[in-house]
Amino acid sequence: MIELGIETWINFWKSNVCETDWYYRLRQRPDLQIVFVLLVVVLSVSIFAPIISPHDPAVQDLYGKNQWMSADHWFGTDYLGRDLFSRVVCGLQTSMTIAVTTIATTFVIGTMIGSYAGYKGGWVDNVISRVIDVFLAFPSIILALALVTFLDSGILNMILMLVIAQWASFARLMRGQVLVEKNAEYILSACAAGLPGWWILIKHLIPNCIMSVVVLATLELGHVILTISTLSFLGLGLSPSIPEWGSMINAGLDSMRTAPLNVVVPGLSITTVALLFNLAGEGIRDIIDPGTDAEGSLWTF
Amino acid sequence: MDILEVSELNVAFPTRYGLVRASQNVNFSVKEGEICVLVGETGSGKTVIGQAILHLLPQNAKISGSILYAGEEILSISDQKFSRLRGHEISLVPQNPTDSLDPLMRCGQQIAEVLDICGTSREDQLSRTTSILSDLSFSDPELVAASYPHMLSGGMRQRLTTGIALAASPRLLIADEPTKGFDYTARKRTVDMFLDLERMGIDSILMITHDLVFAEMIADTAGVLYSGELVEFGPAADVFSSPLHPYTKGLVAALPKNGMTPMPGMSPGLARLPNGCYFHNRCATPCEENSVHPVMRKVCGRFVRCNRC
Amino acid sequence: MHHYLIKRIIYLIFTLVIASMFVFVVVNATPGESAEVLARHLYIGLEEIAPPELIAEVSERYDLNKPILQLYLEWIGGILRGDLGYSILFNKPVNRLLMLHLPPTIFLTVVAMVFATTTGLVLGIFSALHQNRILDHIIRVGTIFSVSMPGFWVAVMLILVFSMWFGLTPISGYGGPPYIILPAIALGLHTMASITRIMRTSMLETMNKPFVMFAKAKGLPKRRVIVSHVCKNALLPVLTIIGTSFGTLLAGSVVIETIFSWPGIGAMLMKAISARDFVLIESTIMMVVFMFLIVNFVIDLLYHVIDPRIIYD
Repeated sequence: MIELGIETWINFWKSNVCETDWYYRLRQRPDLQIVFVLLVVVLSVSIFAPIISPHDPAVQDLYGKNQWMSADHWFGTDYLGRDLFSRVVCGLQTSMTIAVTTIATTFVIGTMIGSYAGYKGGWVDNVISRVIDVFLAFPSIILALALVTFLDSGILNMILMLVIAQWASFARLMRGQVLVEKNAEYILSACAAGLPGWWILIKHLIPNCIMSVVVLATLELGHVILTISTLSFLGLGLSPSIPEWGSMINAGLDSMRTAPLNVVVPGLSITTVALLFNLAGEGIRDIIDPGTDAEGSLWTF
Repeated sequence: MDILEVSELNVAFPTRYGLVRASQNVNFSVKEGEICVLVGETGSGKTVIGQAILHLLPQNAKISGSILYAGEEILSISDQKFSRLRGHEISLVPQNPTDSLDPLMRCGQQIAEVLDICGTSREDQLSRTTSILSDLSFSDPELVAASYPHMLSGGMRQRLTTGIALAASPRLLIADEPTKGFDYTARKRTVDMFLDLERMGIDSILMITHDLVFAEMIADTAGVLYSGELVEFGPAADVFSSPLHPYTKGLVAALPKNGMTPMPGMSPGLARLPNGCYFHNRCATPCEENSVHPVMRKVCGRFVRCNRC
Repeated sequence: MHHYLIKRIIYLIFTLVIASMFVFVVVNATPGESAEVLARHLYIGLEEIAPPELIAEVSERYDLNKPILQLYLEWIGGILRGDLGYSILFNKPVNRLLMLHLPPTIFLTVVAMVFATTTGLVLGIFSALHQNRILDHIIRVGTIFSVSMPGFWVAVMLILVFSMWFGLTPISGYGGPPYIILPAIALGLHTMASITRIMRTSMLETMNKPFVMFAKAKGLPKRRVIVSHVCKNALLPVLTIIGTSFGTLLAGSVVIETIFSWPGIGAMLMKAISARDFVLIESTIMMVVFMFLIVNFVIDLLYHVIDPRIIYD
């Protein structure tokens, strides 16, 4: 009988993770470790937002509106006297819920469609490529604007909207990767060995292509957070009662001359979260493929 | 008269694995009118020597020693001053002709560019380009000049890079692995081309190669590199027919015509070189004083770095 | 070459047709609801509930009851004849509205594009040539921040700092050169930063290529190596980004125009969406898609002019 004690897991971890190249490169990059730790913090804050926020984000206090930062209100209060810190934390939950769900869904859909098209080739690939072209012909906000007329506001519809706007870029990347890998020697030898097509696709092609899609997904997480806030800034997609950074900035516009915190705090929050995802995405790229890392280049003028 | 005199050349690169000493105390000279060949396996620091002469080493390289070109020190002069020597005094035939041509520029333009900085007028540039190309036995020079590098075959690209190197009629040509990846016929053609260069006014060539057969065919003087050091240097006929250093002996014995007897072992990494003789653990005739690092000595008209000789 | 060109044009038309169907279906999918929204915008207040008779009248009047295929064919037929339809909300032909509002948008987008491309290329080249010096680090930190900031927030902060606190530029509006500065920066900053980053990486990659080392060995002066060999080759990957970012800029102009009260199609589109002026929405979106596709088409052809290695198959 196999003992599945903690020892086994530690050994498994040591032999399968600690000796990989990317683990070694991660050890060399303390800056990246900090980014990942901060991302975990951001994720936890978004999960436990209701517990963390010191005040009810909806409670107004018209006598204490537009306050500066204080011990009670860490980021001050907004134009209706609501606690900005609590609203930012709840806004983080909204953004992260939408962004993570969107990217997870797009990731699965895009990877499946893209790898199938790239692997099958022929008319299947041709049809899928044309469909991808159509969706890429819309700048993502424009596509979202068209969909807004069709979908009511709400978190689920927002996710649906973003998935429709985003899946094509994932599918295109995956298709391109599969096309490149498909002609690699190891795939040819797998074909020559008589392995079935679905086996080659699942066991060889997808695992070898997936990492660049992971990088795209991380970068797109940051991008989607920007898109969400942009749409809600325009008053589209989410009902005004849900605290969201974009709508917070829009609401704070009128009083921003006297109370800049209304626009500065949510804006900095968006920037910070997007920045973390961007740094993480580029970091992952450096770790998987040191070839693209220009830092190590020897030759300079 | 020596056109190039390299003495005590040391090149090292600081890396995360420690100091990589790519070239150590290298001494050799190239006489006017001769073809000097440096032979060495991959990682023996041969390319670094060529790059050091041409000031093409990366900025983090630590360089010491002296390189005299026509009696003048060129190692310590500024890059700006040196760039005036490149092209029409010392020129390079690069290692990889395919990657060494700008893919977005017409071949003729890549030659004309060199003529342009020498102050040749535009009309002369065109005729010179054509004559250089026909000298290198291109059957249709105009067509080659108008085409892009990706349209040419591998052999044509090599002749083209040679043509670029020759464009400003340099006095010294440095050729870095001109036969890398070539089959026998292509190698033979390259030999003919280099032997033919004399006709085109090039008299001194420093050739860097791992190809012993090629070296034997072409060299007047030969040097053998091992782990960043020159272990044997002298007239080519002597070096290849009666090698003195055990490494050279091993190389010659490994040639197909001599029975292809492989040498045992691997050369030590340039970051972790032993204190004594670098070749000791592979030596067929090891000596007792292996902890003493051998120095270059003059033995029967050539230089050898071995405690035995 | 001709074969390739024809294939590309067929793809372009195909993409446009499918995209127009998609937009049309999406926008016209809920005619009942559209009628209600329209009725509120045109006849009664926004907060009131429209009586069924009014909804029926509006549906009848603006052809909302007709089958979707018929509506689509009428719309497409009009476009082929050069008539983009009639806006219910503005009570004007869409052609006239676009003629009025498209030039400001194109002006803004082009200024932002020029700003983003020139600044991005200059900073990228500078950064690469001074790799790991202090200014390079500053540029890199600056660009990663710039790609992480949402454009509308940049716009708001620019207004706050330069218009409200320092009073250097007008807060909003359409007029002389001072009016374009802030919108162009807010719109182009993101693109500028991504061009900088890609140009820097591309330059560093190219500088490590053997042909650059050979160009140096040929005796070319440093400046000439950089200008005629490094920059030209490094520019290729940047070209693709310029094409795609044109779409980003067109889309971004919707937001930026709303903030700066810029009289372009963006602000008009927002009004059209809130009132469900469906013909105006469809035609404007298709106009944007058309411009985006054309720019990318031109960039694609440009690739073939610049890079001789691409084979037409």
